[in-house]
Amino acid sequence: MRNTVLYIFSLLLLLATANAKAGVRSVSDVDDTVSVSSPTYNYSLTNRAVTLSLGAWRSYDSYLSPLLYKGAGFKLMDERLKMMTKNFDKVSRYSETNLSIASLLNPAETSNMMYFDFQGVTGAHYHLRPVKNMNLLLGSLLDVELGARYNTVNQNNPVSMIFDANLWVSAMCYYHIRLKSRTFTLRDHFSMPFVGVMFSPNYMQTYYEIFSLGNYDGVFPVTSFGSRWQWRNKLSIDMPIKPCTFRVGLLAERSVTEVNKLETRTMNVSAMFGLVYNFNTFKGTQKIPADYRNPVE
Amino acid sequence: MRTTNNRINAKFGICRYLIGLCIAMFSFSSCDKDLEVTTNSAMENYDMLWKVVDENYCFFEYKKDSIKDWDEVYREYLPMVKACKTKTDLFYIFSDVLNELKDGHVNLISSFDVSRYDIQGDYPDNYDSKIIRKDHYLGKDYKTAGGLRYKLLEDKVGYISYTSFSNSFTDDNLDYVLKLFRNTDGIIIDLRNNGGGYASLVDVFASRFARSKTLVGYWQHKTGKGHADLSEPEPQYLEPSEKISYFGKVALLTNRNCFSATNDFVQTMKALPKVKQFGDRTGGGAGMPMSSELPIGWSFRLSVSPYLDINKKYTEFGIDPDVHVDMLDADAVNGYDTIIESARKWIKYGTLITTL
Repeated sequence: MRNTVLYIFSLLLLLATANAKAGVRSVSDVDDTVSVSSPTYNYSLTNRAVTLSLGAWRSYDSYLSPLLYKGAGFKLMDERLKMMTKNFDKVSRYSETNLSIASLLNPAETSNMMYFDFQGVTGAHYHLRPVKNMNLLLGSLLDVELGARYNTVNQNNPVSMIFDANLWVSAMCYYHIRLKSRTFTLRDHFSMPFVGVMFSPNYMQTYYEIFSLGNYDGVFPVTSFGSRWQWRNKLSIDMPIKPCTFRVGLLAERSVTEVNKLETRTMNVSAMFGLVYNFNTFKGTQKIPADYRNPVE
Repeated sequence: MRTTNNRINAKFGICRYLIGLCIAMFSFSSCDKDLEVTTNSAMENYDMLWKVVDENYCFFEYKKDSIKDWDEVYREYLPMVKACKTKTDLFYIFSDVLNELKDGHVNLISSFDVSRYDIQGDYPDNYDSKIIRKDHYLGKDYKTAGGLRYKLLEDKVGYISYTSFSNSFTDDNLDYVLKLFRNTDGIIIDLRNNGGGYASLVDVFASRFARSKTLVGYWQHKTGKGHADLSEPEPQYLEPSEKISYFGKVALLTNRNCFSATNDFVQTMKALPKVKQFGDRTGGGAGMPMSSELPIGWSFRLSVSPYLDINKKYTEFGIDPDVHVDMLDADAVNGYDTIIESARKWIKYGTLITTL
C-alpha cells in the first residue's frame, strides 16, 4: 500500500515537472504577456550553499559483517539552485555534489570500517507560492553515487562498493521571516529515490569472480521502494550576519537496500554549518545590476 | 625541619604505595573481567557463528558424508558453550566447532590466537629446504624474479621454486624466467609448501603455458542460505598470453601443503597438454573464502565460492598427482630430492617412476 501511494505521488510529481517544462518552452511565445503582469529580469541569480555536516553515522553491510558499525563522519555539500529562465518563475534547476567520509567501529571496537561516498545530483523543481513569503518546490532529481565501505579486518572481502543511479522525488520549502531589516530563511528539503539501478554482488559472490573472471550476471539490479528505502531531510535556517549569510541546520538521512539477498543500512544524523550566497557570472567588468531574479524568493 | 620533611616524604611514600596498589588491583581485576564471558554472551556469539556458517558455507552438500551434520554439531557443543566461563576457553570451543568443517580456509581470528585446520595431517612432508639449497638444485647461484626463485639445471632442465602465491610477480618477471628457459627440455615448477595467496596470479602464470583458449574449470557461488543453494557452474577459460610463452614439458611438484591458490594453479595447469603433477596429493582448499565476525570481536573466514575442475568435480580435498612420489630417505641422505629426480627423468627420458 505504501509503495502504491508513493508511486502515484512520484508520477504526479513527474507530470508536474513535465508540465512545467512545457511551460518553459512556451515562455518565449508568451513572454510579452508575462512581462505585463510581472516584472522582467535581465539576470537570474544562482543560490549556492556550501555546508559541512558533522555527526553520528551507523552502517551495516551484510556482505562485510553481520554487525552494525557506529561512528562519526562528515559530509561536505555544495548545492546550487537557479531559475531555468529569467522571466518564468515556475521552474528551477537544482544541482548538488557531496562527499561523505565516516569512520565506524564494530560493537567490540576490534574492527574499523571506513565509509566513503561521492554523490552528484541534478534535477528540476516546480515552484508553488501558496502563501506570502513561502516558496514550495516539488520536483524530481537524478543522482549518481560512487563510494565504498572498507573493512580493515576482512581478508577476502574487505570492500563493498557503492555504485548506483536513482531518480528521486524532491520537495523543498523556503519560508522567509523578516525581522527588522533582516530576512531569515527557513528551509526544509526532503527527498527520496523511487527507482534506480545499483551495483551489488550476488549473494556471497566474490569480487574476484565478478571483476577477474568476468561473471557480471545480476550485479546491476533495478531497485525501487521494495528493495531500496532511502530518504534524506535537510532542515536549516539561513541567517544574514554581515558580511555573509550563514546556514545552520540538521541533516538526517537513512538508506536501506535489500538486493541479491544482501542488505545494507546507513544512517546519518548531523549538524550542518555553512555559507549561502547568490551569484551571477558576468563577462567583462560591470556593476552589479538590480534587475535579477532570486530563485528562493 | 628535616623531621617534618621526612614525615611528609613518608606520607607521600605510603600514599604512592596505596595508589600503586589500587592501580595494580584495578588492572588485575580489569584483566580478569576482560577474560570472563557470561553465558548470554557466549550463547549470542555461538548462535551467530553457527548461523553465519550454516547460511554461507558452500561445501555442506559436498561434504555431507565426510563431516558431521551441522545441526548435530550445534547440539554437541552447546553444553560446552553454556558451561564456558572465559573468552580463551570459548575461543578454543569455537575453533573445534569450525574444525568440524575440515577446511583449511576456515579460521577463527582473535587478538591472542588464530585457529586453523591441519591439512597436513599425518602425511609425509615431502619437502626439505636443505636439499633444495644443494648446488645441484637451487644452490647459491639461483636468480630471483619477484616471488620466483629459478635456475637452469645442468641437464637443460629449468627449475622454478615458488613457495607462496602471496609473493607476487609481474609479467616482466615471467619474461625473464621463460627467456632463460626457452631452449630447455622442460621446466620443473616446485610448488611444495606453497600455501596459496593471490588467486589473480594463477591465470597470469598459467597463461604462459597455454597455446590456445582452454577450459580450465568451473566457478560457483552461494545463491541463498540453504546448504544446496549454489549457482550453476560457470565455465572458466584460460586465455594464452601474448608475451613470452613456453610449450614444452612442465612438471608440477606438489605435497599436502599445496593449498588454495596453489591448488587452483595445479587444477588450471593440468588442463593443459604436456603438464604432469609429481609428488603427493595437494591439500585442497577449492573454495574462495570470505570474512565475517562475531559480537565478541573475533573475525572468522569460511569458504563461500567453490571452484570445480574440468570434469565438474570439486577439488576441495586435493588433486591427486599423475605420478605419486614420496621422498625417500636413501635419496635424502645423498642430498637428492626423489620428487625432483622423478620429474627430471620424465622430462629427459619420458619415464614415469612412482614410489608407490
